[in-house]
Amino acid sequence: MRTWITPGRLAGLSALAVAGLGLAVLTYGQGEPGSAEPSDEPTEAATQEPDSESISSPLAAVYFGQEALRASIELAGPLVGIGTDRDWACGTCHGYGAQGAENVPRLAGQSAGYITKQLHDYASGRRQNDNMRYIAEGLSAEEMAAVGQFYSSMNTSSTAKPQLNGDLERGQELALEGDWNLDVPACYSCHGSSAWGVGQSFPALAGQHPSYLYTQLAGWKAGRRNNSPGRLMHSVASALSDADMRSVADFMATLPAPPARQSTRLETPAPERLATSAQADSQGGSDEHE
Amino acid sequence: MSDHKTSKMQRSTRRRLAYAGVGAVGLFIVGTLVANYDLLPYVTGPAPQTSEAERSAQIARAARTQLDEQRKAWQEDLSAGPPKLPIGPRGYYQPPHEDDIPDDEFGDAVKRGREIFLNTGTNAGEFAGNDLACANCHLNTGRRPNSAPMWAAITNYPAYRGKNKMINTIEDRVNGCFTYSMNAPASPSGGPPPPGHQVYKDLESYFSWLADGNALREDVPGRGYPALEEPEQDYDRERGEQVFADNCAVCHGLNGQGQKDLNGRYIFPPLWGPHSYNWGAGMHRVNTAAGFIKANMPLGRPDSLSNQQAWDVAAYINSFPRPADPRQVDEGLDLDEAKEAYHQHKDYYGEARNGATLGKGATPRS
Repeated sequence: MRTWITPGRLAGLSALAVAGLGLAVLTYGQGEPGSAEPSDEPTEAATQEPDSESISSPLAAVYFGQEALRASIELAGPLVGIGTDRDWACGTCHGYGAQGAENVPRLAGQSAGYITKQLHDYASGRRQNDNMRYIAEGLSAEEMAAVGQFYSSMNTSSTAKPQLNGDLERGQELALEGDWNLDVPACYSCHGSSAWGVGQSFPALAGQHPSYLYTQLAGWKAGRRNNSPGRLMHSVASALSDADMRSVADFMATLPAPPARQSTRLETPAPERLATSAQADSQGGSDEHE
Repeated sequence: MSDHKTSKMQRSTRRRLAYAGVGAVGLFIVGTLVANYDLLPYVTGPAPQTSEAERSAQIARAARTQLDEQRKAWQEDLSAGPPKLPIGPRGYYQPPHEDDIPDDEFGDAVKRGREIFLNTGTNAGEFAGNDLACANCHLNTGRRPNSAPMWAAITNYPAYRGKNKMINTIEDRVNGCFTYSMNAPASPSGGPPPPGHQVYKDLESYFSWLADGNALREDVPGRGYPALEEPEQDYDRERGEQVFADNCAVCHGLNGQGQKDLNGRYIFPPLWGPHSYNWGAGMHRVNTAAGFIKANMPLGRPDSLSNQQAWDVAAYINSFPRPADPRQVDEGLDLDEAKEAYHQHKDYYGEARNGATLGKGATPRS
């Protein structure tokens, strides 16, 4: 017994243990991008200004909303997981009621244009998520539009619950009135009076899962996500504290989810074309002044 | 067992030093990791931090508390001197918090006034001839500085106004808002609230409550919309079209007609056409709209447009048909006469566009 535990061996083992512990603590500290752990440290992406190519027309969602109205919804069936045993159907992760869970967003009742635009953004890398990129790259534009249309006309009640220890009263204040000292307008002033979304561009937030909403807000703030029209969400999220983001994400989970949309026409006219280079230039320019 | 214990007690000095050394190195590594990677919050839990939101709210609260205290002190002893203006986190007059609306008859009027201000079409629908609300142009329910806040307006009436060449009370002024900005001629009642109407009393109560503690007849900072410097190049509606598509259309729509939510409620107001403000509203002037836009739009990104962009896009928005100027209709003027009498300023009144003349009858009332 005495011979086995030599000072040398002990020292070696301790060093290993300490190094292992250190590594464990480190990984915990950084967390995965999807984790709901507070992480205010800006990632590398935060310092990168989106290049001109990564900014598309602020009306992209309206444009894709138009595409979705034209798409034949039957195309969506096998993709979302109806009558197929594909490994990668939307329903596999988003649920067959498109109710979502945790970091996987709820899609039911979301506007078709918004969903379609996100799929395009995943495919082009404008919105970053490896799984979704893999999925979206395999879809044609028409399939994306069909999937958007399919989910927007789906009716599923909310399965979301507050789970981030947010201050619901503060969340409600931000949702209904905003915080004008921070130039944060009310969520409702763009996302609608029930947070069910407005038009094609402003997604529903009601009934969305708190960890998903929190992750998106934190992503905008840190620059990991930057595909909102006119960088509106970047500005709003940047002004919110970690506690505010948790509060508002939790509050949205207390609301009834949006009903199915039965749109046969767009709320507002779609642009004829998508990208405008003047837009990219002017946006890039004004961002530098911030 | 006792042998083992004894052996432990008899460890050599060398061995103890080795243990101590390893321990020290271990602690050092852990300490370094904690310090370098800012991991302390994961060990102790996040330190209570004051966010900017909380700091701002504290400043606002403190300003109002100080006002109350100084008022009380002055009441008790004149030599204490009058209270100071309560100043908010951004250096502007700080109106009271909504939770402090008094719980009495006056408070009830304040609350009704606030509701009219927010949802004009619902709570004063008889007198609203379009789909706008007071709060569309007076942001944050009439509280936001540089967005024509009501706490700065009410303290400056009665006043002589060149617009109608007479002394205006605040009721006269609000009457003007209904007549022009809310296009009252197209409302169910066919005009603004009649003199002495409860709508005025409630709105004035709300304004007066907001201004509780503000200085009377003072041109306080944040009043009205900022007066922008003239742009380097003459404002141009053609350039404005691109600014509009890039920054405004996502909310107000490429056709400027705004957007409703699923409840049928306007979330983004229409900027021109039959459901917007008429040719008599202050906002139809390019300079007024430019000041509002620069300081307040897009929502959440104030001051993000350049001066030039603000002027250009204001020109674009105000070069479309909208409801007629009620003065021109009521006084039986033709367009030229109305232009001569009421439109000697920066606007597109009477100008030709797309084969139609802007102004009279350009938009059917509906």
